[in-house]
Amino acid sequence: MSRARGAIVGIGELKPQRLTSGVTTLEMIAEVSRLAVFDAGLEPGAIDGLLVGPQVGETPQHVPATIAEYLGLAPTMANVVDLGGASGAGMVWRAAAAIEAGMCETVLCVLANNREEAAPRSPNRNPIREFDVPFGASGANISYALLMQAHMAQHGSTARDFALIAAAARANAQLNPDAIFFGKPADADAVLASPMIASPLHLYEIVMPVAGGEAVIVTSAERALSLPRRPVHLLGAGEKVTHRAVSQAPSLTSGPLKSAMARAFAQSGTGVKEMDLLSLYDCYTIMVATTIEDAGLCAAGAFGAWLRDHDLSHRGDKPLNTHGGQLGFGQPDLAGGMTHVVEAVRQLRGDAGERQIGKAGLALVTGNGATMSEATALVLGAG
Amino acid sequence: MPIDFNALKTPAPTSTALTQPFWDAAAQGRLKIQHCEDCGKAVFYPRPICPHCWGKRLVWKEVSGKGRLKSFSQVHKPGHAGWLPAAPYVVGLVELAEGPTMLSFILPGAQPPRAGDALQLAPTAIGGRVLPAFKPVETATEEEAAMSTETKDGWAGVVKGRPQVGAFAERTRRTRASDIEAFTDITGDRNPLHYDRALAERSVFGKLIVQGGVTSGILNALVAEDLPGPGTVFLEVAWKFVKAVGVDEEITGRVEVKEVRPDKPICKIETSVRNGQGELCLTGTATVFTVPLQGA
Repeated sequence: MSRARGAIVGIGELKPQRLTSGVTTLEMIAEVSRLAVFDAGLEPGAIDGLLVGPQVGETPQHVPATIAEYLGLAPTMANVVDLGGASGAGMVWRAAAAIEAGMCETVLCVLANNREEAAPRSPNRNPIREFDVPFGASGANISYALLMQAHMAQHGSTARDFALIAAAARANAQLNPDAIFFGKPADADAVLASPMIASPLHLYEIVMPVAGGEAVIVTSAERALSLPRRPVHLLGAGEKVTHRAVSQAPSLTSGPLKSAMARAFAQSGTGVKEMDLLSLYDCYTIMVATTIEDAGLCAAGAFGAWLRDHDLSHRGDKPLNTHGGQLGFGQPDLAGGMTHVVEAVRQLRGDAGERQIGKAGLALVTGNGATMSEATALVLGAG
Repeated sequence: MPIDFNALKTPAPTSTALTQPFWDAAAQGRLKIQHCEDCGKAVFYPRPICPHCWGKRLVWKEVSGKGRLKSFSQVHKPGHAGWLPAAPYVVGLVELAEGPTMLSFILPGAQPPRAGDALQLAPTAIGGRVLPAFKPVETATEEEAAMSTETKDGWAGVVKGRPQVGAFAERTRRTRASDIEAFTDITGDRNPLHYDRALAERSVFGKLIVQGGVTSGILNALVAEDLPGPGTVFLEVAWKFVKAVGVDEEITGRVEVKEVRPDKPICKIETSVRNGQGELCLTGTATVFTVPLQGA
């Protein structure tokens, strides 16, 4: 295995909420940043790098400066990472790369969002708004329904195959009291009985939008040695961005995560079969299905059989999204992707409580943005 | 009661000066997209530069209006309230015969939509404007379709099964001087263009070339080995040999399935052979028959 390229030494997470009232995104960023910095055993002054998301409702531009000022930071490296659901994982390797480049030593990676009752629609004028929306295709549900239908047509996968993914996420969420679906399990029959939103996609196969926040602190492997938490090392990363609109996707049944994961495995000198935890981005069931296949866990088209052969719980042979995934936890907008990083850190530290997996040496984390368009993969290792 | 799509309060396109020709054509019930004069590829959606070669010589051309349904969704909960009265309705990814894929509104046909369906442009007034929607090509009346579902699968026993419309396969090999001799052995073709280097170099080809059968032979291998696979023979070919292939040149053959008969193991394919520079050497279409080799 290769050397550590950096270490995650602190995490913060806000309990997801369906709605917030009178709370700004900046306030939530402050709350979750504080959790992460204190978890790392650091003082705020130790933070000299800042990576933030683009969606801070209060300020369309100058986002890093606004957040730095709000938090009282004066970072020597600051940037926006705008990769949709891949932003969280994308921040982690960028932080490590900036540290290796000598630009900073300890980076706060933070994503949060409020969720008001009447959120204004964004004034898009992009090609999707011009060439998809007038034909009746608004929003991600339809795009992912098109990907799912294509998988069914090409490989003969069934509605139940996909429902198993949602059911497993709900089952794992029963061990996470913070999850939005804690206390609300749903088996495959319940998933298939939930309302059809855009065929073949059922309601329970779609993440629930929530307010929330997630943050991690990344520093050098050397610096991590002097901090209180057991470090979680970044061993490899990969990224690829291929398109934005689903009509422009090079493939409907395989995505850019395939090459992103291959790079992350190559960088880390590991393989998918060595992973003790799969922390896979799950905005929709089809995203998990495609990622399982693109990761090489099974042949293309064979995810349904793979799911039936494996136990995805924390006690199982292939623990997958032990926090419930976003399908079970809720999707706090861009921070949703960071939940997969935060859960992997918890597991690799041995801090996951009653859902702690047995052997916790290596984890695969994936992030995905837009319509299977923006992909980031990380291989993390227990320090 | 049929839905009056034109009465829907759906979002209008956000056109720009660059994209306006697309919407002007749409308003006339036509579908025009950009074509790149530098690389020859069709482009969708409109851009100031070709996304394939970054060339700027983009011209607007009306397309055939033929397409194939790559995927679709019946939308029960629209993302925009203006579409609520129309739900459920179908949107799909339409692969145009010219190459690019666009998202469009799919009008209902006699049968529920299926991936791979042949589509035809069907301009439709939606939300107060005519949009380039599509409808399924009805290959048979409903009665015939109902009967055909009862008849046996024409591809039963075929080694690789029934191919999908849009499926393709490619093979690459390098030509050798021994190819020429082998072809002469088979056919007796001793054309000096294949043997007399000095003469060949003075000819329009400027080099020793292999027989056309050597070039097209890669397509025999493709259909028999890859797609549709073992048991396949040619019934009919329409090939243009547009560029000669020399000795020691890499060639890549490609076949793509365009039409598949459900009742018999017959399909129409698009065929091409390109040289190492990507130049087209052979282009055309073929009809192939795949003998069922497995005990039915």
